[in-house]
Amino acid sequence: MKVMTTLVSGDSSGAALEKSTTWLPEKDIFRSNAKYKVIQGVDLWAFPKIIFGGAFLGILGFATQDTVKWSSLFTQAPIAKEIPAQKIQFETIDLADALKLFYSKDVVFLDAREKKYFDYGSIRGAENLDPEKIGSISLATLKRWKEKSAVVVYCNGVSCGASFYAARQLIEQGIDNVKVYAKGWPEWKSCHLPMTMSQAMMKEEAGAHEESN
Amino acid sequence: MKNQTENRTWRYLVGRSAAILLGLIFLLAAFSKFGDLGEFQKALAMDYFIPLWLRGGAVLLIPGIELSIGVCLIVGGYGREAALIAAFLLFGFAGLGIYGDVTSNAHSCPCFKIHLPAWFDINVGRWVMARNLILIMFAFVSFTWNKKTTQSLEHNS
Repeated sequence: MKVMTTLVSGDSSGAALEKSTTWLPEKDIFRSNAKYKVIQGVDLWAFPKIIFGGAFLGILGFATQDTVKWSSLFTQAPIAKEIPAQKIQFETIDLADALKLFYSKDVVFLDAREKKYFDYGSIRGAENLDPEKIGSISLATLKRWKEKSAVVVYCNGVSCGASFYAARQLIEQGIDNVKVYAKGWPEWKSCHLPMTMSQAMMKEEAGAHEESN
Repeated sequence: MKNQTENRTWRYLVGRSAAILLGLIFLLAAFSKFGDLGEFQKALAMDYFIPLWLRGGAVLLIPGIELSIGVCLIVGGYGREAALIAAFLLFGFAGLGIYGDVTSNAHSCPCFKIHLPAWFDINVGRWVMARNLILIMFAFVSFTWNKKTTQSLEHNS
């Protein structure tokens, strides 16, 4: 049996002079040879083989799955095939629409960020919503949201997928008036629109205001 | 010389066992993701500190690479190279986990997303770090000791 081996030729002081990769008979690797020293016996070609082989398997697996589709790779939130398209549709709204809805009383804003960020600062009147726990929300709360003319979900801007994920979860819970305010909290905050602020945020805002003056 | 051979055999067995165990864990991780890639994708979407362009690539590549690493480690073909890649991946996962934990941006570790008891699919935090450190240790043991046909000839020369 031959084994691919990386060899370093060197002089008696141990200084490496030349490096080469070659196939050697197994017995020769164990043979005393002052000229060569085996470096760990790593086959460099194995790395691309494993990685590209794995990538091929991954793509093959993805292509054969029913729960995912290619377009979902480039969207904010994954969209499952098994849910009918009309059921998962939700409207993405901009700041102007969000403001209109904000001032129409029969709307609830849901903040899909983590509680500590919500506590720090949020759109005034918004409720915190953990997208992973939507399944455990009480029926009374779901019913209350369902009765609203719109449920607006937002999170930490366009790079944040939590609002889209939450929207889908809400639709799966039977709430069909869901809208996603995609630019979310960063845009709302930068426009100094009505917010609920923690003490820490107030201090920070005051500091920033003083600095700008 | 006999002691040296026995020592080598013992080390090989430990290295091989570590490789098989690590391989099984990687296979489990791969199949739990392949079981429902949609779930895995959702989990990544939740961790919004991961850039959008990376999420798509991760969904496509990570389960497959985990699968090939697992197979190599268990079968023994390119086992040591697979152990090295596994160690790099685990370092990467650990880094992402630490970042997600520190910035509180990660909701959960989508390592073994489905079909496993909840205690195994732990949230980000120190337990994930501890688990990753143990797995990295396994990877290094299987890299250094899982070799039957090569050895340093330094002492022979």
